[in-house]
Amino acid sequence: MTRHLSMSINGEPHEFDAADHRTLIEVLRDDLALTGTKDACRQGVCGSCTVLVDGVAVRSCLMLAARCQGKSVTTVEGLAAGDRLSALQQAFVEAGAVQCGYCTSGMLIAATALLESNPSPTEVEVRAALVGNLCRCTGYAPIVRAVLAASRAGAGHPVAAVGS
Amino acid sequence: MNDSSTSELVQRSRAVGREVRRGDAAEKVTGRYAYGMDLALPGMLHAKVLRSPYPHARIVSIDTSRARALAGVRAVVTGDELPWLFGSALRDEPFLARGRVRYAGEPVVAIAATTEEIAREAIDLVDVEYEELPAVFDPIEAMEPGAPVLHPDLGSYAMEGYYGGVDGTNIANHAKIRRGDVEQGFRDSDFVFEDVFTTQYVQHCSMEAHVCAAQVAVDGSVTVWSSCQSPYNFVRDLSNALGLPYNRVRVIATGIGGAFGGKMYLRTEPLTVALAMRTQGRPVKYAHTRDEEFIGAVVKHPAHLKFKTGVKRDGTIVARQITSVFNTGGYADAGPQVARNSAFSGTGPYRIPNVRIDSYCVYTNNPIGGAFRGFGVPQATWAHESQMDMIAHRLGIDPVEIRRRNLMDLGDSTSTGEVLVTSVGVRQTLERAIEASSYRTPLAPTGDPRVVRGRGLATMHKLTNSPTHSTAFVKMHQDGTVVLLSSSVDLGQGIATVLRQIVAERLGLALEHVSIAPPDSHYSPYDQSTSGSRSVFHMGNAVLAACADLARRLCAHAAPLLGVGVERVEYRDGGVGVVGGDRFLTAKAIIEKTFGTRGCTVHGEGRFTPPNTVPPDKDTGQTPKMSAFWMYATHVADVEVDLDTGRVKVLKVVAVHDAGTIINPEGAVGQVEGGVVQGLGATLCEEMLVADGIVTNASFAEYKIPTSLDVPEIVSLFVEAPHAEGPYGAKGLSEPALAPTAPAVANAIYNATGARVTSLPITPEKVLAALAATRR
Repeated sequence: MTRHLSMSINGEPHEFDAADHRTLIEVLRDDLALTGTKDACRQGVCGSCTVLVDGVAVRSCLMLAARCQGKSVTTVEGLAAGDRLSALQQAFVEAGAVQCGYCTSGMLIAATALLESNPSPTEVEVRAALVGNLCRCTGYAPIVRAVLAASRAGAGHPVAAVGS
Repeated sequence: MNDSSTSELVQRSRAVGREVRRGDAAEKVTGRYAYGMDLALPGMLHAKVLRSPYPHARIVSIDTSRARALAGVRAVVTGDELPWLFGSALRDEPFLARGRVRYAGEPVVAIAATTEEIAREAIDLVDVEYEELPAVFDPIEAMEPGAPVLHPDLGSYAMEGYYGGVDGTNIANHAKIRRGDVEQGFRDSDFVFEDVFTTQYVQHCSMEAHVCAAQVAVDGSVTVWSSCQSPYNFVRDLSNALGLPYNRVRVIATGIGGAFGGKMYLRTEPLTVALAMRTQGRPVKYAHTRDEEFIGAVVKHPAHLKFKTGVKRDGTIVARQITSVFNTGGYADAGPQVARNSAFSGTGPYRIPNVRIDSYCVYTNNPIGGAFRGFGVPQATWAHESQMDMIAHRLGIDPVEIRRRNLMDLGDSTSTGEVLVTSVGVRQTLERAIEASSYRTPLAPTGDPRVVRGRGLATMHKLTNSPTHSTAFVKMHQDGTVVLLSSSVDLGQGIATVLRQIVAERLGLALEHVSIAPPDSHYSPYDQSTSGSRSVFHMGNAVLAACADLARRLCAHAAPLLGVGVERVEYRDGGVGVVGGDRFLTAKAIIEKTFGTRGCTVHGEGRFTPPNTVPPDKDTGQTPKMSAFWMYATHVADVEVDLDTGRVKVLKVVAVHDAGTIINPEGAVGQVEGGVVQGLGATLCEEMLVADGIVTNASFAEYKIPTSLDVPEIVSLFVEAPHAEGPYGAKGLSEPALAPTAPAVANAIYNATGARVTSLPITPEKVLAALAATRR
């Protein structure tokens, strides 16, 4: 059946109808044009579609949209403050943590969740937090460096404008 | 008239060789970058495909009536309606299976519907009756007389000149190298060693799966959007297949989430175009699911490599004979090139006077083998570097010393008869790797006698397919800023940023005043493809030529404004000045004074074809100049082996590359770090399992690529032997980054344990078996 759902997405209230079987990634990408959340395996293995639901990193391909009723969803589009990148986003840019970029959204969300719960992680803790996010380009080292740099800079604070 | 001594756009510090951030990073970290998967067009339909469950079968009947009747279905197509064949080296593949299927996963029926869900439902309503045919899965069996012949029409297929399929057999290409007298060489050797090495199926696992969209105009013109590596390959191969003039096939390369060779040739596009021909102008999008990516895209060819090498007592190599067999599956795709290029690297970067190589690309009823970062060279490197170590140990020579004795230098000849005259940095990569890895300092023991450590090295060389062509346009706006039009695709490797750096450097502009347009065959000029580590060298040179052309035109406009003849002016610092004088006009001033302030643009065009490269002779593989350049690398791996479980842990990899001058240091390190990790995946954990033609691990849950916890410390270094013809001395880098990793690890395992594994991947089971063999 189809339900009427309401949830906060990137801080904005959203109301829409969605069939029970529809997943969060489908609603985000297909209905709301929030295509920053990436679709790569639809099996919950690669982590590309990771989003925050009430602050917890989840695979949006395994999460039914209906289960987010009344909750708060954050996607990669919600990390920057307007055009000002978060410290983590800026660190990804500066550390060369982005190549093809297809895993980047999921990496950023997983790392955001890590830094929320553990603002000063060790390298091993960063690697463990990202183990569910696959990257085929970088070999992970610059991503790990970026997360560590952001943790030193204070991840939550916007530091630079997009494109700077 | 002399409005300033320097342009406001001048960037005094050099753009080449500087730490420059990639231009698309901000778009990517904000989720705004548009990939093929994100493509949405007005009225767009969604496609799904029914694939064969059988590796080899005759199609008896197809009933699509129930699917056609489903509400929302807009087009249904089967192979019977599509007379065309496509392919690059060899035009052997139908748009959808016609009459028979040659691998499990071959597309049989395609359906376009208003939603993906309806298309999927419609696929389930199709009934296909198959009659299974005898199948062959082992390429060596497939070469034997009496094996089922997959392509009885092989002799009639359109074929690119160099390649040689053997009519009436499953051999899609037989590449040869003949140099010296290999039999005499073996007679002149003190020892002759024969060893066999094998490699496995590896899938590219680009995070973005294959995806495309197609739209057909009333006049039959086709537009394709594709997450692809080569818009011009697609124009050529689609036009040739459909019999359409090239100007009526437009290919737009979308943003792309990784490729690694897997998106070099047509794959999802032909059937999508066939659907779009039936939708009255509505565009059709088709995206692979992850399991389709495993079973229905392309994979790295498994290879069987027999190496027979004759050496003198002191380790000098006298002769080598190689017979290698590449399993290309149901259709050739890039297989003919893979088998050929592998042969060209068969000797390794060593002087070998007597060489005979036979490299076969063979059809079987398995998934399709395609291009994969290195085109068969990683397979050859696995064999020659493993055998190099084995020979060293058999002769009691140090593994470094035997390589030093045989390495090529300037003035030496390759097995293909090319005398190397520039940029041979292989010896430097070896020496630097020895030094940087503290090779001679033994690894500290683990303290546990059941866990032992060892160190191994491997070196390699690779050519780039030549001659190939690149062209570029630069367009200067009236304010002096520039837009570059090039068909090199940024797959993530960073070519867009590197090309902008080259323009900025050549024209003396700030990097932010150089933009790059997305590749689109209707706008950006010809490029062979983004493959073979060729883009920096080829497109970089084309861009330099285009900049020089632009500068020439600006000089012609500026000379009368400066009141001197054109021979007395020069392009410098973002404008044109009088030679030897300080009279100078910015580009903006030149354009506005020439054309008025309402505006105009000034253009430059450039083409690059590597000078003097000649395709090799088909029967001998010989040519005076095979390749635009040769790339070199040496990797040293430190490993730990658990003698009880066979588990191998890589502790560290030192990777030293000669890619010529490095233009973007961050990007170069990124290529090597990422390449080494891909190499480690193929060394230790990755194998697409195919049982009687059926892929049994078609998901990321069952096919394991390295994660953030699986990677060791990687030290990447560059020796930068500048190439005389390279842009600022640059060559190429991407493919060598993963090639020496596997044999370096295998050689380290031998160093640690005395056990030799000759088959990839190096699983704990194989290590235990090799350990057991040492005790027998």
